[in-house]
Amino acid sequence: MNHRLSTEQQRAVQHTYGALLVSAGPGAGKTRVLTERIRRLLKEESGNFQILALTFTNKAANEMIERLKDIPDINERAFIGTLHSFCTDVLARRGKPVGIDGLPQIFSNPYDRTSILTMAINDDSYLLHELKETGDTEKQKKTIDIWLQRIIHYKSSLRGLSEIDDKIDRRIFEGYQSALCASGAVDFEDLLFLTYQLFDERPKIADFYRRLYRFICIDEAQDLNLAQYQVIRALCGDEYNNIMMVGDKKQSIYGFNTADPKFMDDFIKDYNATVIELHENFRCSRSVVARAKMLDDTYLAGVDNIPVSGVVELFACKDEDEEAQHVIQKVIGLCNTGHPDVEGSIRLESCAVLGRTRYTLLKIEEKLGEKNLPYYKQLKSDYEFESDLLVEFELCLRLLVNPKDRIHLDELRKKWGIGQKMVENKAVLGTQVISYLVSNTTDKKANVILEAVESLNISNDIVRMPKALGILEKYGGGLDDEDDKRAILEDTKVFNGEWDRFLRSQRARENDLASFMTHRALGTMQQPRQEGLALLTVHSSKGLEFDVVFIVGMSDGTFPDYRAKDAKAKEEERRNAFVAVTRSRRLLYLSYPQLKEMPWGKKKTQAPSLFLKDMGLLPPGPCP
Amino acid sequence: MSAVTNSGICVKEVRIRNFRSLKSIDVSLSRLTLLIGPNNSGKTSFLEALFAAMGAGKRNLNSDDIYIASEESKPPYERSILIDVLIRPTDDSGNVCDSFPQGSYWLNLWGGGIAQDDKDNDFMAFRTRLTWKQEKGEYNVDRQFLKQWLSDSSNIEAIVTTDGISAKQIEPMALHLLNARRDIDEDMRHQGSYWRRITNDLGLSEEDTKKFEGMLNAINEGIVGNSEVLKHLKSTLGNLDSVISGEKNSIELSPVARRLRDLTKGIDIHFATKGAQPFPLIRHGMGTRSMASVLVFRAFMQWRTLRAKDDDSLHPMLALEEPEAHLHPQGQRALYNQIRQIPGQVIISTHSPYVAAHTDCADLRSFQKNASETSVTGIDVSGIKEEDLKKMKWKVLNTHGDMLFASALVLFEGETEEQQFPVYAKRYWNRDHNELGISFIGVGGAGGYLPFLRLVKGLGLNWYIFSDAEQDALNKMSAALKDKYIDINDYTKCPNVITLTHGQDIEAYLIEGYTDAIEAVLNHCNKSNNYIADYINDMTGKKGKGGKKRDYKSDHDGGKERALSDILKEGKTKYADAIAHEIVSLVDESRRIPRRIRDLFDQMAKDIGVAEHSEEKMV
Repeated sequence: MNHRLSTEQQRAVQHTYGALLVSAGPGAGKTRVLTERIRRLLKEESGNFQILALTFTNKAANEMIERLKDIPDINERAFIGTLHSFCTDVLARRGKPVGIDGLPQIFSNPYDRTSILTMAINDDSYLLHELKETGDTEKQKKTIDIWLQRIIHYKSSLRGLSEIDDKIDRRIFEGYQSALCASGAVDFEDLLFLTYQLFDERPKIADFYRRLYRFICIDEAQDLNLAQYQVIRALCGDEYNNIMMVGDKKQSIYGFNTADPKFMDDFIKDYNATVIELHENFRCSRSVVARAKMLDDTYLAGVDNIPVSGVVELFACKDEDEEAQHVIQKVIGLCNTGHPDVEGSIRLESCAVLGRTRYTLLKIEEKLGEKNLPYYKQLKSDYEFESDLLVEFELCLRLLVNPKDRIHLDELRKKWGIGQKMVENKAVLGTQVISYLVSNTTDKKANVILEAVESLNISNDIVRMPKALGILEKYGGGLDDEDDKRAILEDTKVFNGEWDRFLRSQRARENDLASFMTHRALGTMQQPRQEGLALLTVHSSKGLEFDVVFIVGMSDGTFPDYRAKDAKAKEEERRNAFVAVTRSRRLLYLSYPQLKEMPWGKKKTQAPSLFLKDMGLLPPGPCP
Repeated sequence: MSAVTNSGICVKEVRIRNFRSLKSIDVSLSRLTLLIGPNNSGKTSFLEALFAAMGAGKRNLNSDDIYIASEESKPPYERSILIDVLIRPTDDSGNVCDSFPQGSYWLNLWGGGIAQDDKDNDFMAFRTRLTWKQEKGEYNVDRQFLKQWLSDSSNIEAIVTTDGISAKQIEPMALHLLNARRDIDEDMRHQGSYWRRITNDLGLSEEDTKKFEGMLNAINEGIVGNSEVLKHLKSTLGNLDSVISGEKNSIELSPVARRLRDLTKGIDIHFATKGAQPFPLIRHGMGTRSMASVLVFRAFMQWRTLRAKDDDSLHPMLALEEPEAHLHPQGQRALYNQIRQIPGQVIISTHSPYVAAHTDCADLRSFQKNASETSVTGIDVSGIKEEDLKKMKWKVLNTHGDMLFASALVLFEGETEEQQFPVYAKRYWNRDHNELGISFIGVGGAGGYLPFLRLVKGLGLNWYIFSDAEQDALNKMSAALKDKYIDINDYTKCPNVITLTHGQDIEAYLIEGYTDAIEAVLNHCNKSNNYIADYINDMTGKKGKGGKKRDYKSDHDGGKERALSDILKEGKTKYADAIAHEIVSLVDESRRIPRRIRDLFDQMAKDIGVAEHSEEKMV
């Protein structure tokens, strides 16, 4: 992207003081405007100041850092990261008034939260009774999920205990919070909740950050939820308004996460923000933009000036098997021959297959496996280990950095077949608890893990992670079972990579284990990009772009999702489609299976998605 | 130009653990802080510890610096050196304020390293630490920001550190150390000295440089061309090119440097004292050279502060050892004003009462060493009235600056004691009191104790009171001791407070025991055979103190004593010293030092560890 900035882009870049909202469609150069403005401010504005740049994902943060890395001391002049990372940093330094002393340990995994809630329920006979009332084990499981969602909902609406009226809700909320606290941990919502509380109750602390950061920039503003918006408001106080938000209401697809594009409107009102709209699409081909406009008639991007024509095609396939086959053949074909609308050759990495949910991608994944084609799936913020060895090793690391962590102690205990009684009232301290557990288990891996844990040498400044991983790797390499061997070797490789990125991202002296675990939970060590074909859900494709995009499962009930019933949810489905379509730079291939195998085995006829009709793609072409 | 431009910060406090003799000291700093105390009390160690934390130059700490208790042969591995420095933001007038303003250079420099206290006020604190690293098998130094600054400093080891602080984050407030050995002559010759740093770039334009270098060339050629001997030398040296291949005519003689940058290396200072020829500074005495070195530093710092870019800030920090070195008293008096003009924060260690005399009481830090450990005290001036502070400064420091350096201080009401005690002390210890570090100070009447007491108490000096026993005098002294900064409710329980008895003042006490000696002195001084009888005859009926008619005759027993008392009080300066000398020469050894004064000396001998030298031991 070497082309010059457009007049409107230039206006946004030149904006200095006061609130600004940049409303920018796909391919409008949102990230570029953000980074160029930061670059300009750091270069041209006089005086001593720093910039706070908040992104929605770690990936976006890494990309921004990458683009600004030529600015000397960029790390000292700007904090670039997710809002959650920023909150973690604030709490680690200033969290004492809200009960956080030092780096918070984060339970980010849904499984951890379920365990916490289950623990809370087991400690409260009233809740236990209520839970049993709901029915059998399956039903109870569901209830726990619902309860958990309610807790999350309260927290992300910044509602504390005093603002909850429902009796059960009060008890689950209270029980969950105290169990979390007893485990010495916080969850993602707490990061925002506690930071909000801190800024709200101690305005001089918020004031410190206002003095430190002369400018605040916020990416993906349409994905803000109430808690996030309130944290920003509390941070900014009544006077400060040097905030720039960049967002696109059309790409708001995180409603399930209580995100709401209305906060963009609130922002304009609350801060009297100047609005700059960037309509032009500098990313997609003419065909793609034209179809996107048909999907959303308020999308104002110009079409006629786009030089590359590009392709948008739809195929109806017999079933998912055929659909998968078709996609893979098309990918292989394009890689072999290239395409006149794509400069240079097409590689697997230039292509992505998108699905509304991860289930729609299962068939493709299976076929790719058969053909031995490299692919990668959405990188979740924390990579989940495949091998028991690494899973258990990671549990040990958690116990090392957070001795109060009963949840993971329980998990490890169960995995090693040790009775509850054995660990009750045991002081949990450092490697001692692990060697105690090891001495009480018959699990053969346990000794290897203990050896690895001890070799970390965590009481000293230098944590010897590579050495510990080396021990695990050596053990894995000696196994006869090929699957176990592969899983362990893969996991240790990933773990090594994470440790390496952690060391690079931090100043060397901060290489302590607790900090590593926190950053791991925050996902800041996310692998920037992987190799092979991308298999992504629409949500995880957000902010990405590919020369060639396939959208599979474009049938009614799948996309739009059958659960989207009310008008609001339906609108969000449409925005999902809009996001999916605009991921394509040049070529876009949509498809759907006419027959779909349902989870219970029956095959069901599929009608094409109404979005296909809106895009003028019906009737479909035959599946080649 | 005001020398004290405000930098936006000040170093408020330094806490040191296990550095040489500084096992555990907390020292708060003012804009200009004076460290006083005897030799070897730890003043230099303090400055060097601070230099190790934030010095301009190589900041060294090693295992030799670790505190060792007297019974230890080497420090245990778990003992670490900690040097904690607290920095607070200041407003435009240099007073500590709550927060760094937006746009502050320091806020930007330290960023997340800045912490907030319980009241959410900003501070920056960092720790320099030397610890034993088991895995490396060696000592390691690191510097990190501190998250807290506890008002109770008894357990600072527990404070959590956050990120590391970089050299870049220390440099703008780096401490410059001018030690007692400084010498402008050395400075001028040493690469990297303040002199060289300031004279390296003369700030001349390219054009000017060319012009002056052209003139230098002309001067060189002129000198060589007119000097027969140089011409001869040049032609002989010209033979070099026949042996070593070189350009023709490659020999040039340069009686003066041809390039400006070479010339700056030889910049000389000429200084003329009154009525004398100016001559180079290096030929002046050490006092002048040492002082010149301080002034060059001042110029350097002022220059750097002036030249700092708009957005940059600089907090000059200077540690100056014994600025009075080699200077005569008059020079020492003038010195303080020169030092005050050094920008930024200055810490001075001094033995000069003249320098100390100018300081504010609040700026004094007294270093004392007990066994292998140093303790530091200062005067808490909070709550002391402005006028009392002034009193302390003018009454005490200006007239008795030397008391700050005493190992024991004896306070009493007046002149008689002031004249006599040194005489008795010399008899008692057989050494001059100054040699023992003992100061005798008359406070100017019983109402005058308080400012002295506050000062000696605040500075942790060893003090004694020798008081008259009139009820009024005792009441006043007792009231002073009850002051909340002294906090002594019952002086009779204090071994360091010695009083006379039976309502006597010092004259009455001496008259009671030494009428013979006094009469001998009176007769001798007045060349009379019986001065006391003459006095009674002459003075009876005349107006005495308070306009009362004197009557030395009516009272059969007491008339003579009253007359003696009046004589002594009227003629303190005339007789006191002579009487003391008379007393110490009495034939009866046991009477040579009055009893109560001996009591005082016995107590002091015990405290300062210098026993009485008996006559027998005298050579």
